Formats: sequence, C-alpha cells, structure tokens
Amino acid sequence: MSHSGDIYQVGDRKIFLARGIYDYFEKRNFNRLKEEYEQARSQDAEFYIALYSDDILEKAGHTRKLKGLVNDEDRIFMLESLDFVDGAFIIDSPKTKLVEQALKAKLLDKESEKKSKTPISKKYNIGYASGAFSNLHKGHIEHLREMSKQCQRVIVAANSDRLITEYKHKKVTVDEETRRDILSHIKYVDMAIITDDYDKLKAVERVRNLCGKSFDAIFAGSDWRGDPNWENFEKKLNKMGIDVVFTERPENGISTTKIDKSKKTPESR
Amino acid sequence: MPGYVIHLATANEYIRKHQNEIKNKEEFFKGSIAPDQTTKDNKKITHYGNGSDQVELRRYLKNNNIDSDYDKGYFLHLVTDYIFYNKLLEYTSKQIYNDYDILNDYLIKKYNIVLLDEIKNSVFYSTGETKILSKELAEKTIDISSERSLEDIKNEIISCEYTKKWDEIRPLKRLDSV
Repeated sequence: MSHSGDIYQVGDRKIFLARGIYDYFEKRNFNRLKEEYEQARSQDAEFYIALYSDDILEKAGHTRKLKGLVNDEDRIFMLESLDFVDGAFIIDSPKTKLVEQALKAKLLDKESEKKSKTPISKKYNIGYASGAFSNLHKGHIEHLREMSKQCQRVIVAANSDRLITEYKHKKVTVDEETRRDILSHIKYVDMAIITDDYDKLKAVERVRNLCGKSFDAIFAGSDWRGDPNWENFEKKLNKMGIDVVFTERPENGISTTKIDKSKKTPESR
Repeated sequence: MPGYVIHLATANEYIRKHQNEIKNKEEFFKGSIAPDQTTKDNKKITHYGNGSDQVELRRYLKNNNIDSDYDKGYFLHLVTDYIFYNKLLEYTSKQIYNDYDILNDYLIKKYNIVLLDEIKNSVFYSTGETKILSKELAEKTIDISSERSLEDIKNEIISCEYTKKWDEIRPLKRLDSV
C-alpha cells in the first residue's frame, strides 16, 4: 500500500496533510485528492494540502511544466476553492519536519481569515454558466468565483462528451461525469449538471425544471464577447429578463489547450 | 524504497556502529523514514531523482546540509536506497512489497526495531517464501548502508564532479514489465 498523507496533531486539532503539485484538476489527480480526503474523514481530521514550491522542485531535479502560467498563489487558490479542502500552502522543503512548521503557520493564517469574513448582498438570485471545463484550471475557478460574488446560487453545466466531440470537434480528455464531479466540489458552485444542448434558451427551461425557477443571469468568459451566437442569445435572453454577464479573461492566461499541450511535452530535467 | 523496516534497521545499525555521532535518536529515526512518507508520485521529489530507485545523492548534497540528526537520517535513507537499487538488487517486481511484509517480523526482532507511531499502520506482515528479496540481501543492504560514516560519504561525493560509486544509476530490470 502506498503511503498517502500524514496525520499531525496541532493543539487539539487533528490534521491530515497530503502533498502534491496541482496545476489543474483532471481525473487522476482529482480522484487521488478525493481518496485522501476520505482517509482524512475516516480519521476525523481536517484536510490540508502542502504544495511543493518551484524552488524545491528544481532542487530535486524537476520543473513544473505550467510554471509560467500557474503560480504558487494560483495553486493555493484552486485547492482552497474545493469544498472538501480546508487549506493549502506552499512548502520549501520535502522534509516532514519543515512541512510541519509550514502547516502551523497556515493554521494561524486561517484563524485570522475566519475572523475577518462579513456577509455581502448579491445582485442576482441564480447564475448559470456552461462550458467544457476540461482540465479545470484557475481561469475556470476565477470565472466561477466571480459568479458566486454576484449570485445567491450558482449552477454550472459541463458540456457532454457528445457536444465537445460534435460541436467543438475536440477529443474528450476528461469524461463528462468526472468534469461534473470536479465542478460539484468547487465551493463557489451550488449545483453542477451535464448539458447535452448548446442552445442557452433550452438551458432556461432545464434550470426551471430543476429549481422551480430559472436563472436571472448567464455568465460567459470575455473571449465570447462579440460572438454572433452569443449576441443572438443575448437579445432573446434579455427579453426574458435574463442578463448576460461576461467575466474578464486575461489574455495569454492559462487554458485547457495549453494544459493539453504541456502534457505532451516531456519533463525537463 | 526497501521498506520502512529496512530503513529503521539501517538507522539502528548506524547508531550502533558510529557511537556518539547521533545525539537525538528520535529525530534520526524520523529523518530515516521521511522520504517515503508520501505518495508514489511525490517520491521523485523527496528522493531528489526520478524515484526511489534513481536517487541523486549529489543533487541532495548540493541543496542540503547534513548537520542535524534529522538531516543525517534523511541522507542515510537516500544512501540506503542508492546502494540497494544500484549496487545490490539485480531485478525487481511488484512481488517485492510482499517480500518486505514477509521479512518485517524477522527484521524487527533481529535489529530490535521500535516502530514509530507515524508508520505503525503502514507496516504489514505476511508469511511464506520471499521471491525477489532474500533475507540475506536485506541484511546485506542494512550492513553495507550503515557501514560508512555519512560525513565520509558526503566528502567522497563532493570532492569530485563524478564518482561511479555514488553517481551511476543502473537501470533496474523489472520482471513484471517483461
């Protein structure tokens, strides 16, 4: 049996600490995370992740392929967006002793974060978005966080494998159920479904059937602004009292295509 | 990884052979198992190489001191892995994990090993004949790995750019992938 995480007793708190790299989420690394979480839960422990810094990776002779696109803060942000992860932090040494020190510092940070949280009122009741969400990365999660800032409830649909193959003419790298499952664990998401329809008007009906009422805002990345299909959807949706909101996507940011490309390049050593 | 028990036995033997060197035995033992206290994927990071069978001792020494007893234990683990996979073991397969389980009880008794709390649930026991790792090879690994002073090994490595003895990575034959 392979060793997975370690249990640390910090004061009266029991922490299960896993370690890893996590640039994005796909089937293998996400399932591994869930297994580790199950181990933490079975031992009544909180679940934290220690992320290897680029410095230690280099010292150990490895380079993170997405180093230029996903920084340390991004990796922490992504892991902490999962509803079953209590916290994540960077470690500068693979040695358990120093890892423990970093964990204690993180627990102190989390305590002060808890004290500073205040509730905020939101513009929309239900927000909806759909997409492939293959190799879920920080750009996707920032999009979902923005939705969560503006909506009481967030519903996200993962495009079915058929839609990806037939409409986007792309190979499915992460199956639809895994993509839905990963989305359902993002803390900004209240409901994750699979959609087999590209038509946003049909999504209105689908959400109404699921929730009793439909969404009052639909979200898309700013790279879709000006797209003829979206302009057409926007006109029709506005007539139904639904806003179309584009969230800003940085140019030259992380993307599924870039991740797929990095998987094909061998690790530099 | 030659199994937690072999690493603890090597640490025990090191303390016995190099009296007065290790002051904090608990820290030394903790360091001696630390590189394996992670997932298979992460072992290439904790082992400073491409996995526990390809430890790069020079890379470790370039980035770490071996001043504390914990660090000495950590380095001893890497030295043991290096010797085991590159100088002693001729071939391997998944069966070796069962061999560790078969040998654990014998080695714990022979070397008076006290299992640390953090690995108690990761040490298993089995009976039968070993297929890959004989009792003799396990004992030889423990004996050779604990023989030289860690400081001597360190000095031998850093005194020149390459030594066949400590740098050469020998591809390990895998019976289950043939």
